[in-house]
Formats: sequence, C-alpha cells, structure tokens
Amino acid sequence: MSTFKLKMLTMLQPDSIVITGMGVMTPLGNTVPIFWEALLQQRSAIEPQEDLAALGFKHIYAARIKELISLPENRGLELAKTAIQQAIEQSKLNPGDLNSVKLIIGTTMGESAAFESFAEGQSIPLGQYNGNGVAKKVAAHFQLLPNTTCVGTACAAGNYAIGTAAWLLKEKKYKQIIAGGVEPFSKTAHVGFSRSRAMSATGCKPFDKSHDGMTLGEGAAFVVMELWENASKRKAFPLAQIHALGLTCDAFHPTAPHPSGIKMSKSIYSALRLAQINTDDIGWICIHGSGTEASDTAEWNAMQLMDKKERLHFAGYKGAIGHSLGAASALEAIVCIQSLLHKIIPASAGLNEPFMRNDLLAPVLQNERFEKRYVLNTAYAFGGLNSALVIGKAG
Amino acid sequence: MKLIQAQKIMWLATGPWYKTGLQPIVEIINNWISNNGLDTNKTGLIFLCEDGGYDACIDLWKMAIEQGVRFVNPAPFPYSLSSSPAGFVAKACNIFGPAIILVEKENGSTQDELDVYAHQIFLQEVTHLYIVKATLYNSEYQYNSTVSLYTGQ
Amino acid sequence: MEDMKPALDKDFGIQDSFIDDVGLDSLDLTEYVARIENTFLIEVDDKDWKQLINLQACIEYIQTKNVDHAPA
Repeated sequence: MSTFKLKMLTMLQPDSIVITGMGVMTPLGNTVPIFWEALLQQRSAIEPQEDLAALGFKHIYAARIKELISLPENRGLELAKTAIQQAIEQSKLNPGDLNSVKLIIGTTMGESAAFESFAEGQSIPLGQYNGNGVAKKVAAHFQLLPNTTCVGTACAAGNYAIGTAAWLLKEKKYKQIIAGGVEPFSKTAHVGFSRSRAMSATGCKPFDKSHDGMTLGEGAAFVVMELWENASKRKAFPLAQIHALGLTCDAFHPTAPHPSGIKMSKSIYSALRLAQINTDDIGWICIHGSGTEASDTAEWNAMQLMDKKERLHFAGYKGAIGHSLGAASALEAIVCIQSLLHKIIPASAGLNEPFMRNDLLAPVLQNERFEKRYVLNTAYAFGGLNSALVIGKAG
Repeated sequence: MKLIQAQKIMWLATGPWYKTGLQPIVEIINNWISNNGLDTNKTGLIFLCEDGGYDACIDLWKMAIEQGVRFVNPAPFPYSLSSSPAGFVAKACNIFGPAIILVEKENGSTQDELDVYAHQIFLQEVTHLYIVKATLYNSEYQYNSTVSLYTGQ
Repeated sequence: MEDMKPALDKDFGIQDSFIDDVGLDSLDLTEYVARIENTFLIEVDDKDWKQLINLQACIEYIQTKNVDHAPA
C-alpha cells in the first residue's frame, strides 16, 4: 500500500461511516466512471423522445437509459440490480457476506408502469410493484437480509436512504447496508409534471435565467456503507465518509416549496451542526436544482441564509440527466463522492447565465478544482420534505 | 423514546383519501398539540404506509387514457406519491421537523430501527414525534390508522 | 370553480385575481385551466396560462380561441 493511502486510512476512526462501493445506471452512462467522465465533458442526455411525441404528450424532452431493455413493469428492479451489482463488486463483499447485509431503497413511485397497467385494466398485485415490493425482489435476488426498508420520500429519497443507513450503522444495527435510490421512467409522472405546467419545453436549465421547468429522467444509484472497523478488516477501500443528515418539513403545500427557503436552510443548518462543521468548511453544494422558478428561487433563498464568510460554490446536474426523482439525490451523492476523490467539481449542467447573483454564492460554470474536505448534497421533495447530507473525504 | 399517547382509528370515507382528506388523523394530532401546548417547530413525523399514493396514481393514468395526455386534469398528481399522505398531515398539523416516510405494511420496520430513527430525529431539535401507521387503499374507502405521540428520553 | 373548490366564497368578481383575491394557488390554477380546456375543447399554451389571472382574462382568452358557445 502506498504511503499516501496509509496516511489517509489512519485518519479514519473505527466508527467512521464509510462508502466502500458505488454503482449507477444513468442516461449518461451505466457505470460510475463513464457517468463521471460525461459530466466532466458537460454532455447532456436530455433530448426529444419519439415515443412521448407519438403518445401525444405536449412536452417530449426527457433523459432515458437507452441500453436497458426490460419488461416495463420490472424496469426499476433491473436498474437497481445492475447498480447494486457494481457497488457490491467494488466493495469486495463476498457472496457469503451478503446474507447479513441490509437494503434501504429510496423511490417515488416504484414500478410506475405496473400501476399504469393496472389502471388500464390488467390484474396486477400492486404490493409487489410498489417501492417495498421492489426492495424485497432486489433483496431476494442478492440474498440480502429479507427485512428491507423503502424510504418513500420522493425527490429526496436518495439522501434519506443514505443518511438513515448511516444512523443504523452508527448504532451498530448492521455490519453493511446497501443504500440508494431507483426510479424507472414514469409516464404518469411525466403527464403529472407536464399538465401541472412544471415542465420545461426544451430541457431544464436549473438556476439559469431562462429556466422554464423541470425535465424527467430515470436511473439508479446505490452505495455500500459500513463502519470503518468492519471495512478495514475486509481490506475494503473507503471512498468517502457520510457525516450527517439534516431534515425538516415546510408543511406548506403539496408540491410547492415555501418561497422563503427558511426550512430548507434549517435542514442545512441541522446537517452542519450534527457534522460539527461550519459553512466555510464546505467545498461546494450539490444543489437540488430542479429548474422550476418556484423551486430554484426557494433553494436560492435558502443558500443565501447560510452563515458564510467565504464564497460558497454550487453546482447541479439535472440539466444533464434530468430529474430522476427517487434516484436523483443518490446519483448526486455519488457525484459528490467522485468530486472528493478527484478534487474536481463538474460544471453545473444547463447553467450559462445565473438567474440570481450574490457575492458569496459562486456557480460552477466550468469544471473547477477544490481542496476542502466536505461536500453538501441537498434535495427537496414534494410535500416540503427537505434534506441535506454532509459527505466528506475518507481520510 | 417514551410513548405519551396512542390512538387507533378506523373510518369510512365517501371517496379516496386524496379527495376526502385525512381529518381523523389530523384531529388526533391537533388535539394533542392544543392539549399539551406543543411547539410545532419542534415536532417530527415518521409515517408508515404502503399504499398512500395508489388511488391518485391509478386515477391520474385512467384519466390520462380517457382525456388524453395532452388534456388530462392534473389534480390527482400531487397525491400519487407514497409520501403524499405524510405531506398532507404535516401541512395540516404544522409539523416542521424531520418527516420520514416508510413504504411498508404495518409491521415492516423493526421497533429497534424505529427507535434509531426516532433518536436521530430528537437530535434535530425535536421534542415531540408522531408515528403514524396507516392503510389508505380500500375499495370501500374504509381506512385505518394508528397514531402515536412520543417524546425523547 | 364551485365543483373544484366547494369551500370557496361563491361571490367573486370577474376582475378579482384568482391568487390574490379568490385564494387559489398555482396548483389550483393548473386544475382550473385544465377544466377550461376540457370544457371548451381548447388548448392553453404554457406561455399563455399565466395570463389567466381572473375570470375576465379567461373569458377573453376563450373568445380569442373562437369558441361559439357561452362559458359555463
């Protein structure tokens, strides 16, 4: 082992919560390295979808995973299985280890296509296709612990899954937990956002002057998490640490965030307080950045409320891969982890001219290097569910 | 965590909950708030429900088929998510602290796990936690729920 | 409107702002505009829907779409 690696590893505590494996399925690539490289090249997977046009949708831009062929009702299951397989392999978990591993899945709608088939008159046992059902099938496939958890916190589900996994590991309830989010493309969600006048005509441009709505995506992102004392015994390599999850609720509206961003900023404050760090310790914020005026504005207001003396960088990636709902914040957590490993923040996708300016808030318009130890991953969901996850370097 | 009060309720609605509301749950919580003088800024929620989004999700797609995806009324959409009943209750009861939604049947998460979630919620400047378990999809709109109030140690 | 939000005060003027005076939010408006579309068989573009701030604006918009029968 190199001297550098050895030094890094000795900075971890036995009860540090580390990530030892990651896996993704995204419209910009089906492995972490391919996805990461695409972000650095500022590519976008958002494009007009022929099948949506043929179905008569007014809004036809979306980001989809072309390479995955599956039965529509099992698309979420296949996305999750592929991503989790990558994470397990990277973490070097042996098949014999898996039967004591817990699974926490975040999602919004589970297998949306199954619900659509049911609405169309087919006989479908819905319990097998909601998020809980998907989790059970994934656990059965990998022979994980059968008592899975599904966190149904929609657009923030990934943060909730990873953050609550850290809570359980801290209390030594499990040796390893696989946590993350999955969301197959949902025609129901597409029609819902489109008809709610929340969808962009040509692809979302989060935090940009010309932001005109969100764009739907799909994907899966999962991490293997464990205490360093267990990972080190297995000689698994720690990729990052999970420090704290801050949560609040706007209790304001079924879909719109509170325009002040006050409760969003409270979730950030809680996360920083529990991680025992200050705003100025944060290298950058991975914004939720959905691209609607209401959401971007509330989130901007929340960031302005943060107590900072130095310029705080921020970037978001829904402008490249769309909004993958239950998978979104898990995908974004993996971008945060990659940025800590490579010390680079990929340019914020879809952002050319910021819609607001503040001397202490700096949009990342080109790939940028950074040195600080912590990244903040924020995600905000329907119902005013606010989350902020502090992710840090492994050593 | 310490259990303060719990109530089990069943009610017959005239339609799906997303149209008729969740008043039976909301009333229990709002009564606790006023009887105990709770600071709603310091209240949190764990909501366990597998089927909270079913009716709205199915209705939205049915309507999309009937009216066309270009013209369908989006009214059910906000309620088509598993998290929607929790959001409804949080809004009606001013629950501003952490709100966690677990998609599972009544006895999904172990008490051990719920204790861990509760402990972490109390660390976020919360003094009172509601744990709501509910079944919200039924052809006769017969719904049931257990609503509990906890404090930290 | 009564069908959509039965709790609303039934008496409001055609120039009363839906949001400021009648108490609708943006989500209610998307539903109301969808009902207008389905009733009058017209499509309200995304760039137009925010102009429908009160009943008068709705009536004028429907008329520009050349609908012959009277509004409900």
